Parts: sequence; structure tokens; C-alpha cells
Amino acid sequence: MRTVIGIGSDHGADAIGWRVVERLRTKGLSDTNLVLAREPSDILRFLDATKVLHLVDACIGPETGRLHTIDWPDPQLAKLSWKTTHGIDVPGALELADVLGILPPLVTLWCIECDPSSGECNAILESVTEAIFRKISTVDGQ
Amino acid sequence: MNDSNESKPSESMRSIRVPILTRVEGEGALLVRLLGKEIGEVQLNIYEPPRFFEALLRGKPMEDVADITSRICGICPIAYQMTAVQALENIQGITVDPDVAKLRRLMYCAEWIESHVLHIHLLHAPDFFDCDSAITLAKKYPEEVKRGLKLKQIGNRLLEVLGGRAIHPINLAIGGFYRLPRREELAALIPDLEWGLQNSIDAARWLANLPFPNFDVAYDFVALTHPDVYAIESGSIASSESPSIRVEDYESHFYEMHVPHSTALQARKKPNDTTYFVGPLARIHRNFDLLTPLAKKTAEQIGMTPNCFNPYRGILARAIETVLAFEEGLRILRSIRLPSRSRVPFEVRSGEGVSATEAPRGLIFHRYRVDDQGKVEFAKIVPPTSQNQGQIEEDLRQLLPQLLEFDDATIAMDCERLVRTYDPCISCSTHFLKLHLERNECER
Repeated sequence: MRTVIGIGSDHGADAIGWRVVERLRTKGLSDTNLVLAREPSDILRFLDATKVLHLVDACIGPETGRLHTIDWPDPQLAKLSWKTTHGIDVPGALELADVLGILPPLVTLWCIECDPSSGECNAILESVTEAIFRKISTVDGQ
Repeated sequence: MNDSNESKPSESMRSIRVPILTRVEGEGALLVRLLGKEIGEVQLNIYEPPRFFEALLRGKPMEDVADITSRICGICPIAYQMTAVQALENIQGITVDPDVAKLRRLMYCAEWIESHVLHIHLLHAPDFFDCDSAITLAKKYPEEVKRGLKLKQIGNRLLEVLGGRAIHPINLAIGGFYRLPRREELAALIPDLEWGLQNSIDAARWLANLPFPNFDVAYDFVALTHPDVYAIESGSIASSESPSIRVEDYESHFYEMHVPHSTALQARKKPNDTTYFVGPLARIHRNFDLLTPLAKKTAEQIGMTPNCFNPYRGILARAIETVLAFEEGLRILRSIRLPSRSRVPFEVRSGEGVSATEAPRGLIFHRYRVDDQGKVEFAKIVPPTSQNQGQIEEDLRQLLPQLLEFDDATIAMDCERLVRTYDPCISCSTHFLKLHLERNECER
């Protein structure tokens, strides 16, 4: 089974991960669990029976809508500055899952550049969703 | 990640910076000034911009208050929602159906489970095992950390069923719930809670023999009390001098004030402007005899007494309250009769009302005034962490004389550890603490 997790909240640019996953729910991806997480440690809730994991999150950057993909493990993750509310960030949650032996063999992070000061990222929602959908479908053989 | 810029004591003023203190919630800084052997200023410096929720609520329909206040905290949204809704129900003269009240208590238990288990396993326990993070702890104790994660998942699931979703639940309404859970949804939770009860007891036993520092503080423990049950969602307020303060009189006994070094208000107790302590240790102190049977038995087995004044043992208090939340949750699930209606209808009336409940981190107080259209005219929200801030500074002031002979990195680490015992939730936006330590070794 494949799991796609949108990380963030309901607000502003931080909502882009949730909105993408909500759009993906309308596209008929088979054998896929599409869920939302607010705190990174919640990622650990959704790993049972998951073989392929996709995480969709906002990142701060100048080019709103630019999509970055990072496959776990990747040394550049350690160099990035992750913001989190609750004590453990996204790489930390993945590392914890790895240590506990519950991390799926294939993990991809999708980071969407957003400008937090510009509020919602609705303008880019359709395009990034489509890009992620195409790549997920192709790479995972859907 | 602690990025310490360490330095040895010298004759001149010294500074240490820890840019980010991990494993706490929110963002702030700590300033310590040492003047030789004397402790100078000790300031918990919260620099996050205020979010003005109280002003934001003005003019809003009271039906929106629960959804707005739940956004104050991603870890304890139920505490904010429940306290707000109950205050508004007091204004409207609503008494909810008894079984709705039970479901609300069950919902609050879910939040205690989620929050306590997160803090115990991912934020606090690493301090006692010489681990710098939950990841390091998981390498040493994988089964215990897995157990903690599963316990938290059960809390999340319980909240999903009752609140509509685990993240910022949406089901709490003035007068009851928007939608009652289905009987089969509740029944399906019982096996998980049975597993959770046994495993939360095992978790408490795992923590029993941690190397707790010898550090007792003469706290003024402030918590809700109730004559019949362990107070969670209702009760009167008890402090050292006053065993039963009506919630309506909270502001006659406690007040908030601005301090120059913090964007968050600090609370003090009248009449002598003293600090006080809210949270699990205070609740157990005030309500030990009303712990549920297995929670009480576990407390006795692991040496948790009602007169524990050591903040480091707060992890045990959280473990006991996790057992209580599972036990109480099971009792409610096994006995609940779904009410015939999800909420009590009411006609809007103007007025003012208050409520206080026990958030995972301690007492929370709300006061609202609404007009005859049901619009909010005034809102006041006093969260637990603002009440504990002054006490945290007092604790640090008491701890620091024991640390003066150590290097700055050790002092920084020990100060962080003490702050973490409070499980402070400074805000829901980012990380927490920079430590700025200034030493002046010159004789005074």
C-alpha cells in the first residue's frame, strides 16, 4: 500500500500540504491512503502496511510553486532548517521511524516553495497537485 | 539541536547561547545573569509575537468561538474548546445532558493521553537516559518508544471518533455535540483502550526508577478539585490558602501582568503577588484520593505520593494521569448510553460567563461576554503556561546556586531540563528557547 501524508495546518501557506492531499483524493489513486498530519510525529501513525511513503509539505522559498523532491535518506535533509511546533521535525520523525524499523522502504518528500507572507497558495495548488499526481502515478506504477 | 558557544568562566562578563532548545513547544529564550556567586536576573523571555486571539474573538458569533480557540494549540485544542463552550453555556443557562457530559469527559481523556504520552516519550524521557533526542532514546529502548507511539495513536483515534478529527476537532458545540458518535464506533475503541490501560501501567513502571535529581520546591499547587471525581472538565479551584475557590472568583485570587522581557502575560496570586504551579503534579497533590483505582495503585507502586514537590517527577505524574485517562475512558465507554439528542437547543441571551478546566499542562480559565445577538463582546483566556512562567523563573533561581561550579554548557543543559519538566507550550508556532547566560566573575 502507498501512503501520502500532507503535513501542515489549515492556515495560509502552511495549508498547501493538506490542500494537495485533498485534491489527490479526487483523482482515484488506487491502494493509496491519503491522510493529513499536523505534527511531524503523527507521520508515525500511518506507516503500518505502507510500502511507499510520500510526504507533502510547504517550504519557504522565493519561487512560489517550485517543487522539490528529496528521497530518503538524503544528506541534504540534515542541512535544511525545518520548522516545527512540537519538538520533533520531519527528518526527525523519519529517522525515528527508521530506528524503530517501521519506515517503509521507499520514502519521498515533496517540498513546495511558498511565501508565508502571501497567505494562501491557491494559485499554485492545481499545478503542483497535478505534478505530484503524475510523478506518483508514474514512479509507483499506477 | 543545541548549538552551544561554550566558554570557560573568566573575570569578564561571559555569554552562552543555545539558539534552539529542543523538546519543548513554542519559542522563547532564557536569560541568566550571574554576578560572581550571586544570581542576577533570571528571565524566561518569550519573544514570539502575541497572536491576539482575545481581540480576534470580539464581534464573532459565539458558535465560532470553539473553532477559533482550538487553533491556539495543536496539542491541547480540546482544553480551549471545552473551556470556551462551557463558559458560553453558562451564559446561556444551558445544562448539557448527563451522557453528553460523559462523552465530553471521554474526549478530554483522549487529549490527556495524546499530550502526556507525547511529552513523556518524545520530549522528556530522553533527559533521564542521557539521550539528546527521542531518536537516541529509541535506539536504546525501541520497544518502550514503540509502545509510547501506540498509546498516543489510541488517544488520536479516540479523539477522531469524538471530535470528528484528531487535528483541531470540530464536533464540540454549545449545548453538546454537532454529531454524536455511533455506538459501534465507541464499542470498537474498547479493545484498544484495554491494551492502552495495561501498557500505560507498564510505561509508568518503566519510568519509576529514573535518576531524579534531589530538588524540592515549596510550591503553591493550584488545581481544580471536585467532590466526586478526579477533576478534569469541572470543579472548584484549590490553592494553598483556599481549598475551594469558585471559578467565578478566579480573578479575585489570580491576575495576569506584563513583564518587560516577555510577550506573554505572566500570572500571579493575590494578595502577595506570588507565583504558583499548575499541572499534573498540582492535580495529583490536590486530588490523590480521587485517582481511579488502577491509577492510584500504580502511583503507590512507583512511589508517587500526593506530597511530591520535585518538578522532575512530573514525568511520573503524567504517567499516572495517562493510566487514569485510559481507565476513566474505559469506564465511560463501557457504561455510556447515547443520548437521544446531540445538543440542547437554546435561545440566545446576553451575559457574561466563565469556565475553568484542566488542560494537560494545568488549569485553564476563560471569561466571555456576549450581546443579545450572541456576538462576543469580550474574551479573556488564561492558559496554563502563562501561569507557570513565573514559577519556572523562581525554580531556576533556586536551582542555579547548585550549578555555579559547573561550566556554562552544563548550566545551560540543566536549566533546559528544568524548563522541560513543565512541558511548557509557549505557542504552537515553532521551537522554543535560546539561553543567554551572562557571568560577571568580579567581586561585588
